[in-house]
Amino acid sequence: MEHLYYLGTLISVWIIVALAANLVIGYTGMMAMGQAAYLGVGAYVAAGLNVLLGVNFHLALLAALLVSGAVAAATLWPLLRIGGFYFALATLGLNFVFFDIFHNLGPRVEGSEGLHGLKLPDLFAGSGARFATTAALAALCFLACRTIVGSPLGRALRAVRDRPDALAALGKDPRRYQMLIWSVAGALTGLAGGLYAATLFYIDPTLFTLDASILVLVYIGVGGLASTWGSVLGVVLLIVFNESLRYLGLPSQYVGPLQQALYGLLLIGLMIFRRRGLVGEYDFRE
Amino acid sequence: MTSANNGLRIDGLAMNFGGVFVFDDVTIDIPPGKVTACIGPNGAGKTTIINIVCGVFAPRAGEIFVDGVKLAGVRPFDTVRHGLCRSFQDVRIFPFLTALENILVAMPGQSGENLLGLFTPGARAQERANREKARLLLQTVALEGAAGRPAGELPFGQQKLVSLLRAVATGARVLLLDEPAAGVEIDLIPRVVDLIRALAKAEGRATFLVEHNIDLVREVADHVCVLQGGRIIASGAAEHVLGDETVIREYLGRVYNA
Ligand SMILES: Nc1ncnc2c1ncn2[C@@H]1O[C@H](COP(=O)(O)OP(=O)(O)OP(=O)(O)O)[C@@H](O)[C@H]1O
Ligand SMILES: [Mg+2]
Repeated sequence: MEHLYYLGTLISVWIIVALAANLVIGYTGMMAMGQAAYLGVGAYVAAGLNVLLGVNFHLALLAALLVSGAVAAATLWPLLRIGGFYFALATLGLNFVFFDIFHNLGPRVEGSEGLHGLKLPDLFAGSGARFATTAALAALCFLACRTIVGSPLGRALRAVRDRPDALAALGKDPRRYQMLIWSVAGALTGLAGGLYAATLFYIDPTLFTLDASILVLVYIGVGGLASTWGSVLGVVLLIVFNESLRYLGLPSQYVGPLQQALYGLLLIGLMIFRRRGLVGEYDFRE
Repeated sequence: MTSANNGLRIDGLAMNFGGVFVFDDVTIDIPPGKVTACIGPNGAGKTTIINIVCGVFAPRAGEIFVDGVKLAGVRPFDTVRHGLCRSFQDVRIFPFLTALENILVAMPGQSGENLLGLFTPGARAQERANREKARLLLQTVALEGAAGRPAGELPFGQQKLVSLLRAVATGARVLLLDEPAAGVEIDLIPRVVDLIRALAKAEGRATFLVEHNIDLVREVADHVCVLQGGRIIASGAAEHVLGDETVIREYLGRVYNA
């Protein structure tokens, strides 16, 4: 049971990350390749405040959300004038920079590479409660994302993605929408970072490398771009799939490589036969 | 020159791309309630005029006035605020938005486009009203049946009509239409004609029409100017300019023999 709660909590965390990434990539067409940077900011803010300064974890989560949103806004600013491939490269760069910051400047508990010893309030204390709270927050994020994408704002985001120059000609600055949604996604990802810290009890910089960012891309690629259900499905299916490999009874040294290879094959197959993912509403072909 | 509703005035515009000369001393008046057409061979610089007016390029010389007020430092996304909106020669529809959404997204002042406005009750009412307006616009060109289809899947001519309605929906008093009939299926051309007429005559918008289809120009234009070889070689009342021997020989001969 403990392990199932843990899995459910982990899935909830990644659902939030995937929802946020889908807002910027799937709906707005911004090639965000380094989302782990904001995940890390959220995790470090929440864990740092709680472990080192004794701040109540609820407040620390709120701080994670706000700080990550602000950091996202600040880091997007210089990138707004570049597009496409170069924007994607720059977001990779962001991931590297933030990894370095976590690695060299990130706070750590004596004798470890990262932070542990979170003091969690009741809502997060037991594994069952932690799962319930995290899942409820994920559900809330899901509803928020659905509200956004179904609104005039969501329509404008898709217009930014489809033809930013045409939207500008209609009197609306695409960069305004990019800024707005990037900050929202950064905030949500930061919240997920805080929850991630509570899920794992321990964070260090290696959690926020490019691997994590790429995992997010895989989740939404498999689930489907521009689809809130796609974000959920991708995460659930891949984490469950990954987990089920552990029960195949393979020698443990084969599980890792096998996971990697199957993931890779799944992705390749999907891109060849079903580019829109499971329930996606958009593909980058056009 | 300073009265409130003066349309668009392009005054002494000159342009080159680096060392490549495009045109000199282009002056065109585009009054409200009238269709002012600009014709000229491929590469004459017609689209470039629209691009300059909309702040895509800076001219080498010349000035632009809207309702007598000089435009300075305008960027493309400011144009609607100044009362201008352009359409594109190559359509630039939002392919994954439905035809209706393509029009809706163009409507100004939507509170539902802000994070906070999104949760106010006014936003919903406004959205309903906008949807109704967008549907009516589609009706004017008999495209209400396409409302829910992704615009990228519509035939080219219908996409072009939707892209015109999109510009109309911004509410701009001055419209700059770049070849609205080019590539449009022949049976849709009358709808383009009716739409352009209605914009100028019924709604009083100042309409600048760049177009190769001379029959269409003949039908809708009040004034015509001919841009060729880097300058305006003829300009005036439509029937006058289009009746001019030189224009017909120079221009029509070229287009139809091309
Ligand atoms: N961004 C640009 N950079 C360099 N040269 C350009 C650019 N845009 C247009 N030109 C050149 O300026 C000239 C005028 O082009 P423009 O597109 O305005 O012509 P046009 O009259 O609209 O032609 P058409 O009828 O084919 O649409 C052409 O020689 C074109 O090659
Ligand atoms: Mg042109």
